[in-house]
Amino acid sequence: MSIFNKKSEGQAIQQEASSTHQVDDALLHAVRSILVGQEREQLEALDRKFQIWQREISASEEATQIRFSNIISEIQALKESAEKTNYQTQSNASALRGLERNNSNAEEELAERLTPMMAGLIKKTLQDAPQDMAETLGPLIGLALRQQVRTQKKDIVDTLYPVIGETITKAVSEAINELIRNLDRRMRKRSPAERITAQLQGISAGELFFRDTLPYQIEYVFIIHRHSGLLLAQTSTNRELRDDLDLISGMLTAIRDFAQDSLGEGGELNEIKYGEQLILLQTSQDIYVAAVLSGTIPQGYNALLRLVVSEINVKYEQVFRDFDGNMDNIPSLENDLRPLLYPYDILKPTEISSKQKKTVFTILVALLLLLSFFIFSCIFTIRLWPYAFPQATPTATYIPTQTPMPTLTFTLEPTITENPTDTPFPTQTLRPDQGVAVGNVNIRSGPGIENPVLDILYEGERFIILDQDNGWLYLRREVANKPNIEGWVNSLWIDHK
Amino acid sequence: MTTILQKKICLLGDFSVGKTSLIERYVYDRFSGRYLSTIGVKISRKSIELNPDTTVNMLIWDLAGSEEFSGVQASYLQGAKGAILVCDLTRPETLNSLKKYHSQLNAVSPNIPIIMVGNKEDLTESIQLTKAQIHEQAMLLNVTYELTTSAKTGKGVEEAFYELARRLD
Ligand SMILES: Nc1nc2c(ncn2[C@@H]2O[C@H](COP(=O)(O)OP(=O)(O)O)[C@@H](O)[C@H]2O)c(=O)[nH]1
Ligand SMILES: [Mg+2]
Repeated sequence: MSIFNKKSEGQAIQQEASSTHQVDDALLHAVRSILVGQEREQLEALDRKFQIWQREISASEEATQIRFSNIISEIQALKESAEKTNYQTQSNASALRGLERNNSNAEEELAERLTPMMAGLIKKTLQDAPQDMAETLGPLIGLALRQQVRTQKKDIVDTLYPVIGETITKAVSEAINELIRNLDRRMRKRSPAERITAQLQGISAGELFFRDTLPYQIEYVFIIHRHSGLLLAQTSTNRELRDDLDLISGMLTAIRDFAQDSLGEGGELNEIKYGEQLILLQTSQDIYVAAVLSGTIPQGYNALLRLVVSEINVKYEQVFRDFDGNMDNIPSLENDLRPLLYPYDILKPTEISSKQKKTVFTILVALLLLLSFFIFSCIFTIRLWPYAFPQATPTATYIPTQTPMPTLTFTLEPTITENPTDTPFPTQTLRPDQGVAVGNVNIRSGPGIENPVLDILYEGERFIILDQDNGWLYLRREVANKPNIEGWVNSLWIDHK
Repeated sequence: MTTILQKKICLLGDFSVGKTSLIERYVYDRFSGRYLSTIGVKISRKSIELNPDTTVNMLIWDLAGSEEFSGVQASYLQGAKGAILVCDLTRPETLNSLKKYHSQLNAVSPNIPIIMVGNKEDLTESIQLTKAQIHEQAMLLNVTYELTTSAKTGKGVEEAFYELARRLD
């Protein structure tokens, strides 16, 4: 129903109220036309407009509806596409992930496959053309190293420290060991006199002290049956027994035998070095002892090993001889081996004790005194010998029947006034330039005992003094039947005015 | 208290007959196909409880020998209380060589129990030695006990060592 209809109904009610019922329709119509004709037209126009609006509204409503539904469907579509995109993205992502995985797998696989090949190649190149390789890689490595050192100094230090530390430790310990061997070689002499000689050779107390302060750790000591290589006893400083010492014993025996068989019977394997550890071996008749130690062998330890092993051998000789593998028959050797675990009590560093040093000093002083006395005596003897025993000089002819009389008493011949031409002895009074020998004395070519002997002037022979020089006289012997020889004689042995 | 016996035993036989493999199988119960030729000596240990009162601690010396060397180093045989002579069933000449090892052993440690072993029994296709041949050689050398073994499968290995161990006095 339209609004207009309603309004006309309302108008009709108004008309009924204001006028009489049952009035002629036509008239009414006419009157109505006159009265509300204008309004009616307006109303009708309005009504038309309204209807148009209504149509328009409903049309627009539809359009809106359509548009809405369009929009909704569009949204739906969008949503769907969004979902699709999302899925796509997801699947893309997983595909990507898969790809990534694949990639790394492939890489690993490739690496796995290539590594041995590369290693082989590198190895081969290194073997075939080491120079080329070095030339190629050298600069690169150098550069990388320099860069690394510059940027990651601390890391590098941390990484290299253990390696370098170890290398240095090894080098130093080797140097020390060399020094020790050298020292020990020089000190091996056992007698005190030889030790002093060693001291004189230049082994200082400092060196000895150093030698004795070097650390060592004795780890295991064990006794091995020489014949079979079976382990007989073991002991250790840390009370922990090794369960493979029987294998080690066997191997040591094999190595010993091998060395002996290959290098000859005279030799003996005494030392095996393994890393920082040292195995010392000392053999006796039926057994041998092995000591595993680290550090520097304490001085005298080898001798101690020798002593202990031979003592044990002597003590249980029969047991070792009869040994057939039954361990019940082997006595506990714990106590016998103890000194080898704690050698310090026995191997007191004797050379550095002050008492010892004093002794050495005293002996040295005594030796020095003795030596100087000896030298003094020698000089004394050499100096005085010719005066005391003039004929005994090497070139002098010794005449046994004429005992030299080193008397200084002047005994003048009573016949000196006799005719000199008739007798061999001076017969005339001694002139100031004349003399007579009071003992047998050498005639030398010069004034001094260092000069050669020309002849001997015998006691009682006469001579003429021609010159003199500081206790020596230059003279000419004048004796019948003897050549008139001239030469130097020490004035002590002649008598002259 | 159990008595512990320590005994040195030796395995002797030509190069590559399987001495090392037999010991590996017996001591560690493993077999490595890898060829590890013994250089000189290798010592292993295995304990066997012979009875509740006695345990034998066997120190097994694996000794290398070859045609080039005339046998093994004699000093390695010193103090041996038992021996296993090993030959390779696929190589007849290795059975023949056992004479040489036997006389070497006899010179150093006479009158000790000896077991003779024909090894590589699993290689059935290429076996060239019969049990009769092995028995004949065993009789000739006055060997106590003989058997065939395979270090690969383990067959006879335990038996060989046990038979020796219980004869060690
Ligand atoms: N099939 C087979 N191969 C064996 C056996 N015993 C040892 N071998 C192989 O034979 C080779 C030599 O063995 P090896 O024990 O080193 O011999 P050895 O020189 O006597 O010590 C190695 O390749 C072993 O794997 C066995 O019982 N069966
Ligand atoms: Mg071998």
